[in-house]
Amino acid sequence: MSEIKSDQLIALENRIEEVKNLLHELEESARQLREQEQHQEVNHLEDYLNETDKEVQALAVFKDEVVKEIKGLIERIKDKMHSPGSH
Amino acid sequence: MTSQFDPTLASTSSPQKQNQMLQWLFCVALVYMVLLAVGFIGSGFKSATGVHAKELFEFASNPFLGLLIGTICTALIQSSSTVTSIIVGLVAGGLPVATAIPMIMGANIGTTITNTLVSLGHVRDKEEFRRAFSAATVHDFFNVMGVLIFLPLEIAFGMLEKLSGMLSNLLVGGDSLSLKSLNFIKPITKPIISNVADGLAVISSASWVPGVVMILLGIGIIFFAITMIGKTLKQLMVGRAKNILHTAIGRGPVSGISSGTVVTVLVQSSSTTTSLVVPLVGSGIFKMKEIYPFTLGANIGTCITALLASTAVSGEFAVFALQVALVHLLYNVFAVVLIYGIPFLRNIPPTMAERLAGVAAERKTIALLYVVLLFFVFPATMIFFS
Repeated sequence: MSEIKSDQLIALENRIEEVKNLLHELEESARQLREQEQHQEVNHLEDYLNETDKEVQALAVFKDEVVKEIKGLIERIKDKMHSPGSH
Repeated sequence: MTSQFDPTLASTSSPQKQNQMLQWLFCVALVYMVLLAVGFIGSGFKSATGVHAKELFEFASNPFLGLLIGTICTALIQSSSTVTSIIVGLVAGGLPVATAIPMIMGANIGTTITNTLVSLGHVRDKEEFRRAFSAATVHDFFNVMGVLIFLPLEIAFGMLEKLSGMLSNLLVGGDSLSLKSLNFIKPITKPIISNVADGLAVISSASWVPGVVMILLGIGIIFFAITMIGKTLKQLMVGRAKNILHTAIGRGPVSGISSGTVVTVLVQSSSTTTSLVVPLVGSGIFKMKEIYPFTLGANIGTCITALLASTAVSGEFAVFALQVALVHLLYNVFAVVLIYGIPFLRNIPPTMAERLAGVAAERKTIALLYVVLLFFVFPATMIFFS
């Protein structure tokens, strides 16, 4: 009985080791792929450098979103006030 | 893998080279203008205040007030290099170093507004905005934390003032290691500064009028020259910056900090360096924690401008001008070593930035409130109540 259990244990341990190795390989592949993509992005650094001067445009885009959010909030408050259950 | 280095560097054609040469000459001229401007501010401040510089800045002797002045001024003009260079000029004119130190710390906080504003442009995609905003605010939290640790220490022990004082005395004081004789900048700036001061002296019999004109002229020139240096170096240094970033990818945090420092020295602007990483993180290609050391390097790299500015100062306060520039460097190096060196402290800025970005991605108004409160309302309220 103990012999069978031991074999099972060995098999499980081997399997764990295999999965660990596989995980390590996957992590390594993912790291390499990510770094490759990072190198590709760095090759377009000029575009990103141009982005650094666009605070005004960034603010304009952001303002639109904030206004949209505030309008949505006001609408929700109005709806709540006019809903049948409200006082 | 094929070489990641930029091949365009090796194959620049002749007209391009000529254009680059002109841009370099333009840069040299701009640097010279910065040096002259710092001299103008120092000389103007001295002639405007006489021996009363200390009394004039008595209101800023409260360190918290100094900190807030530094924060607001830098946030408004979005350039810590400009503000620190002006501070160097003011110290050269008699502003006490102890009063200038909190202003320098404030400039560190104020400069983080630029990359935060850049991150707001990513607002249309929620996930992209969350990543970009966290990449920007990690710098804010780090710099605020640096002030929270070092300002009380400075008030209690004057650590930065003493250490920078020792170093500046060693470099340009009366001690044996003096580098006075190696300074070739003063001889090329001093005659022009003296001539301009003499020329302006005729506009009014009151000594403060030409002094104030010189200060304003200096501030204007610094603002223009540093902005133009940043724009020109961005074009000139993009190839080198690429190579540095390629080298840093996949390496550890020390490499990240070093590359952030070098890129900032090359482009002469920490705002450019820290804003550069915002879209890189926003796109999801880089993780916020990967760029965090690079951002810290920008804090160190930006100190080069004030150090350079201090070399233009002559006279009895030259040693103090160098001292305040060294304070800027020491403060940023110590902050990186201490906060990034201790794992518990190291994780605080990214954790805070991620949490804030998570909330801001859901409610954009929170992001707006954060910017307005941190950079303007809070400092202005503190100044008002001081």
